[in-house]
Amino acid sequence: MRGDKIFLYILLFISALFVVIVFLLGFELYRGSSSIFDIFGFNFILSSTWDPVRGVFGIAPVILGSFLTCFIALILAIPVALLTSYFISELVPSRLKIYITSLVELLAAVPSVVYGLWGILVLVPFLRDNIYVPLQSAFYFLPGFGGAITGYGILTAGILLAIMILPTITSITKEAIELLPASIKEAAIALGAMRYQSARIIFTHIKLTIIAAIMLGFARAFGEAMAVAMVIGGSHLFPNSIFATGYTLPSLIVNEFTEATSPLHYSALIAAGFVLFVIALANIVVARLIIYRTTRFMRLAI
Amino acid sequence: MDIIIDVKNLNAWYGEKQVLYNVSLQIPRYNITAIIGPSGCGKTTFLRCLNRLHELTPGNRVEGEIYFYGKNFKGNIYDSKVDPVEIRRHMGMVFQKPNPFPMLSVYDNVAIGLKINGIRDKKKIDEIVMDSLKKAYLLDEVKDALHKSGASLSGGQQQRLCIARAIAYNPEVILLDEPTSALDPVATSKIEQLLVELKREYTIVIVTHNMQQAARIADYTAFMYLGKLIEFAPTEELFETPKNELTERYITGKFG
Amino acid sequence: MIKKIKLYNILFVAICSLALIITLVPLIWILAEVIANGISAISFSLLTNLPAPPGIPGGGIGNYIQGTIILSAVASLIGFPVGLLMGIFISEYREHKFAPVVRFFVDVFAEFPAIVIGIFVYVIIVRGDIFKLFGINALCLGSICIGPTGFSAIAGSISLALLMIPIVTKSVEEALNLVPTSIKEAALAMGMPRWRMVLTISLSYARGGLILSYILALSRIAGEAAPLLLTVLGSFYWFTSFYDRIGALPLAIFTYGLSPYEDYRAQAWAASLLLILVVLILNIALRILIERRMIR
Repeated sequence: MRGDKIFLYILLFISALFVVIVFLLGFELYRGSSSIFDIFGFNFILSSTWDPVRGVFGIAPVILGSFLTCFIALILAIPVALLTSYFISELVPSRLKIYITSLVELLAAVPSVVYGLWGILVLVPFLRDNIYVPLQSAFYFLPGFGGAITGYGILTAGILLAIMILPTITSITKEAIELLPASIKEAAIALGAMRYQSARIIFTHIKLTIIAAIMLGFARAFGEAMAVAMVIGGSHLFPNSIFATGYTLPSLIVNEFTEATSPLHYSALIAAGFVLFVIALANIVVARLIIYRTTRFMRLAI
Repeated sequence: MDIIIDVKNLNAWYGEKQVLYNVSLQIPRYNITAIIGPSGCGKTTFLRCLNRLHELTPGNRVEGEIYFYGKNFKGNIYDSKVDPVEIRRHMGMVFQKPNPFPMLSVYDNVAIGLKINGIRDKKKIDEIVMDSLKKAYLLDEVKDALHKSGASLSGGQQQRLCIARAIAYNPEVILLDEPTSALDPVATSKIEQLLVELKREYTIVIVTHNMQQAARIADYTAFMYLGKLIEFAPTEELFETPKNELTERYITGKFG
Repeated sequence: MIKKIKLYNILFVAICSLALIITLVPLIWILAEVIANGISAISFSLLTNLPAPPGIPGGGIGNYIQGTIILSAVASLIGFPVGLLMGIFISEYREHKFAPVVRFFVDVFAEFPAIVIGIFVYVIIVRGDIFKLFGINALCLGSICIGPTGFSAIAGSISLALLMIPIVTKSVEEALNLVPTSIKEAALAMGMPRWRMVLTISLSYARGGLILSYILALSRIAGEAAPLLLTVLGSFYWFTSFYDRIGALPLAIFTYGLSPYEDYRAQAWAASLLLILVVLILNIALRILIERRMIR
């Protein structure tokens, strides 16, 4: 049929265009930042000097800040997310389940600027007055507990990110638990497993999916721009205390893009975006491959 | 007769639908008791009531009493003070489709039941795992594959692995839900031999849709129909001189 | 032994419940703050007026609302059809050797940080590198020229459309996968060509799912700020043309939230309330439709 062929060609054309755009994205980001890599080479990543006036750009503290905030976010979010997902999928009565699931999904639907607004106007003063100040007066003699306390900073950004990635990790894990065949859960129960014991068996069976969920949570935290930009304080120095301000790659771009002064400054920001893109891409691709593999594995095994 | 499980007036519901009606039955110790009947007669539900698995599905309900006379537990397992988890530790269960834990090795599949029951001693675990695999006629076939995934075995081997898993933590009763329905004849006959061997140490309750299987291995047979227990007798008696007309029609193949 | 295990069990269930509470507390806290602060700031004039300098009463966020509506509408016009066609391709033609490739790219693209897409659109459209790639400054057909747009509504719409495409594609695929094969085969057996079967039978069977996919994508892009900051920059005035800057609610929340002025912050809460209401209403509407089985 000629109609069928034309229709398929239209679909193929659109899809191919999309694939080309994805490649173009990587290519253009690289091209946009090439002048930076030509001038600074790897020093762009390894150096800590960021001086737009002199035209010297290095993002080592920013990369460190990115990993630090994500690390804090994951440490806080992973245990809570795993236990929540088990609670929702196995312990909540089925009638309540829909409502709790929707609440968690709503948490994911809140726009990130709203998180940021809440972060800057509520969370920052709350943490400063109720957590950071007492913490510093208790441990002022220890290294890493000094410095000025503004409430803004890497730690605050990490906490806010933890809240934001909770629903990501929770809903992927919850889905994996629910997709796990009933026969496996029943086998555990018939062995006389207590709740925490069958939870362990269940988690063993979905551990690859959990890793993928964590990686996707990481990717989301790593790429989050607005909320972090609003609470991280903005600093190109290496952090000298747990209360220090800093930057992450996306928050650097957000904060300086509108005020960039020279073409080289723009290129430096685009280059930061390129670094962000490469790290996020590696994460997402690995996580995706794991998810593809596990769904196939579960289908084969059961 | 030495009774280990005494079922009294058991009723069970799937949501609104009643699937068991006043079933009363006494299961003798160290014997194989088979439960037969056409599909949908409630035989699987009955089995799942014995270790309180039925009530786990939301909406399901059980009424009645089941007295269990084990070594460490004597009484009604549906008593409100009884913890279902404890009951399940006195009973092993083997399911219709082999369901070894696919992410665990052959060894860990058997060991997990011991770990759940609080055994930590590595040497002891090792000993019991080997012993259980041997009892399940599986050790020779898997001794080089102990650390491969449980899902890598053949169907019949998987099912024997599930039996090994069920007997490892030394339950008193083994419940089997059509354990051979997904297997070929060779694997089936291996499992039948195994069950006959195992009844020396365990009480076995097996649900089967295969009358010949019941006739071959069971000491006692119960025939269920539409959620009711129609007849319960020593196997030979039930097959040769059935007292109920429904039973006779079923075993002569006139329906279902 | 059993006693110790039982104690662990109770402890475990308690910890699980605690985890759920920890998950939900921020949500409730955020909603409470947004609603409380938003309601006290919201008024009719706020919704219809242009912004005023800080300290001068009577300023509003009307142009931001207008901007968000325009940006979302244009993004939908571009993004939804593309996503729909791609969803059709990877579901209805899943046997095609190119389909898994496209699915993989969509899955990966869906997780890209929004800011990266913002930079991309900035580079190729706002700054116009795509034209330089071909060695020209602008693409001209007669007197109509398309060149670098600068910070503009059209660039913002394109970046939102790019964000929308993978969301639409994935949920369209899911919706179409639920169409029973028997129905499709019945249509094909009647001698209906495949493209007509897809466009009539499959799409109409899955229409609920299509609405769902659009609502999902819309509620995601309506609150997106990062790519807009890099492509439209924001504006204090009403919409004038697609080649000019435009305001948007998420951008207003960002700049007003960072400002030191009380009245700007109050307006940021009001803007947040509007966004949350949109997301909430869309979500609840979805759920009701699903529950009533109006959406398959």
